[in-house]
Amino acid sequence: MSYEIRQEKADFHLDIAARRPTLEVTIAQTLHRVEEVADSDGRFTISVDGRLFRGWRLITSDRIEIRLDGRSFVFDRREGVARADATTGTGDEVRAEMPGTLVTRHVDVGTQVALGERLVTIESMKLQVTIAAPRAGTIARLHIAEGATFERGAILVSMAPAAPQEG
Amino acid sequence: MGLFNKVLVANRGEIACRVIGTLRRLGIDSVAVYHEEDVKAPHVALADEAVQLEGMVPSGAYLDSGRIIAAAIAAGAAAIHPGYGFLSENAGFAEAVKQAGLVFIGPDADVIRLMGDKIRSRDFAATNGVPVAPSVTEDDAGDAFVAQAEAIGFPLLIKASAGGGGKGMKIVRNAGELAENIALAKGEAGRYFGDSRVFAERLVERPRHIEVQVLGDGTGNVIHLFERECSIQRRYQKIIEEAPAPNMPPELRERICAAAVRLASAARYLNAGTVEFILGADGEFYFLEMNTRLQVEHPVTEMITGFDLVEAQLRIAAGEGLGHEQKHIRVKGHAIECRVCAEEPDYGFRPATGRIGFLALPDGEGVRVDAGIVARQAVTPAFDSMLAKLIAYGADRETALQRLGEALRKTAIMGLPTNLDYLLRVIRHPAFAAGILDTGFLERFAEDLAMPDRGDPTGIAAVFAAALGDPTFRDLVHRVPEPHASIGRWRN
Repeated sequence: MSYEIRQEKADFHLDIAARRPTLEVTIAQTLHRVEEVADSDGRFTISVDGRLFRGWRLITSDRIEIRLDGRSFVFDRREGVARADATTGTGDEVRAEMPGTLVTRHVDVGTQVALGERLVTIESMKLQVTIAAPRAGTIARLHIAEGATFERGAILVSMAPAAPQEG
Repeated sequence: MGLFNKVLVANRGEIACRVIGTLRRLGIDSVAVYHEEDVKAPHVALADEAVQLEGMVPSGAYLDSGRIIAAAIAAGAAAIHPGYGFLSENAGFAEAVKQAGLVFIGPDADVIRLMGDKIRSRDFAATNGVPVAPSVTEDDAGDAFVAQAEAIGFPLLIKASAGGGGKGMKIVRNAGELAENIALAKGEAGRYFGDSRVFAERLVERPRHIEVQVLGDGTGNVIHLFERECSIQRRYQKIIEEAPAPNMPPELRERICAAAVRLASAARYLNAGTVEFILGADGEFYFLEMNTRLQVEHPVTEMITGFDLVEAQLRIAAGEGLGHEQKHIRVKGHAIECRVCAEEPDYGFRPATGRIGFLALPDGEGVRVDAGIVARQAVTPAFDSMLAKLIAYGADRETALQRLGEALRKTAIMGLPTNLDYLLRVIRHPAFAAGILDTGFLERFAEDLAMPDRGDPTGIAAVFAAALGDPTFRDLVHRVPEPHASIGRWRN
């Protein structure tokens, strides 16, 4: 699962690697352990990699402002986008971004699917996510059986190569 | 003659609040004035009475001398305190207040006029033995111009009489280059301004802005409350001030303060004023101007001398005199002030507007906050961008600096851009800590003072703090997104 937040001059891409027992999030290839300790009246206290940070937070309809250690950070809320796709792929192969278990197959080999149609539901880090078709096409192969586990990077579904577009 | 029963404060923001604070402490009733836009402003709530001023534009209301004087009379106030800015250096206002039978808390109108005139005040200073930057004009010197310019000494600045913006300006460091540079400057001046006349003045390198606080009783008796250093400026406006000036030899301090007293005494100065000087790296100092009012940065002087300058102003205006002898006034400790402004230092200090969505002001030992803001208040382009002043006092400069840093860290003004981060970067700069200051400081160290990299642990923690404040991220962490929960096969 990933989430993006935009700060002036910089975008941050957050990948959630684990949710429990401790939240583990990757930013710029570095894994951080994050814990929210307290939050009241605009004050927050969080622990990042074992270090405590206390500051103020203002949340408005379009921004989140953070004041921490004498510095101010402004984030654009509209850019805060969650992507629960949990997969990567070229379009022909749908791969798992995290290890998990395949819960349900929604298609069979040979099924014609539209872009965004449900392919399989997987469970990773105790969260079920439905994987959608990255493009329209035909299912060539389903690699994982229902109830079977898979590793990070495993191919879940292969789609038949796209036919050349006419016209 | 006792102190006044009631005083009208013809100002707004932090300075109105600060004046009302002293009035309250002395048991004097206060009258605030305000424009409709300021109806919820703290100075209105703080005063015993408040009178709304009708006006087309907000800032115009505070400049409406007729309505303000009428409000003072209607409220039964005996005196008007003008604060700084607005009507504080308006000689016509001071006169009108007096004519209305009220007391203007400040100097006489003629002294305001004298000091408000660049050329007259400079001549007045020179006549009274106060150093002014040596200069010679081509008009006055004629054929002797080159010789007289050389006599001033180097480095010299040659400037176009008609000009500005650096056109026709030359810096000359020795006599050999003088004639040639005057010719060049004249050529440029002629081309740009159609007027080739130039003048020469002593160039002050690495100038420091040093000013002296004075109090006068109007009969020539003047005391000084020592100097302030105000060299940290952006766009020719001060943002950090301190007292006493760091690295100031005692003998030089004595001479500068004596010069300020000499000037104020010669002017038979009444009430509180400030004499500003430019101090060169060579120890030479020159008169710049005199401000005939309370200064924004007056708190640093109060903290090192124990004076309440507003109280001193009230007592002098009420005819109680200076009440202090110079020999009993001592400097104790060190104080530094910074001006918190709604502006963006990382974008050329452009002014910012917005609404204060969250406000936390610091406290602590030696920390003073002069603020005129409240949470939810709108900061509009109608008024000055200064929101508050943070002042820290310590037994020595290092302690004051450390406390000011803590105070800045404990301050949060969110909802609009401020210079809080920048101020902390400035006071933590090694050259600032060393007290090696001049008016070119912020430009010289611009690179060091730029926004730091945000990929450090604090920057990353800020990202997490923001993400955890965003329901979208919280949903990812704590909950199952709706479509999947509805499938009903989610297990924990």
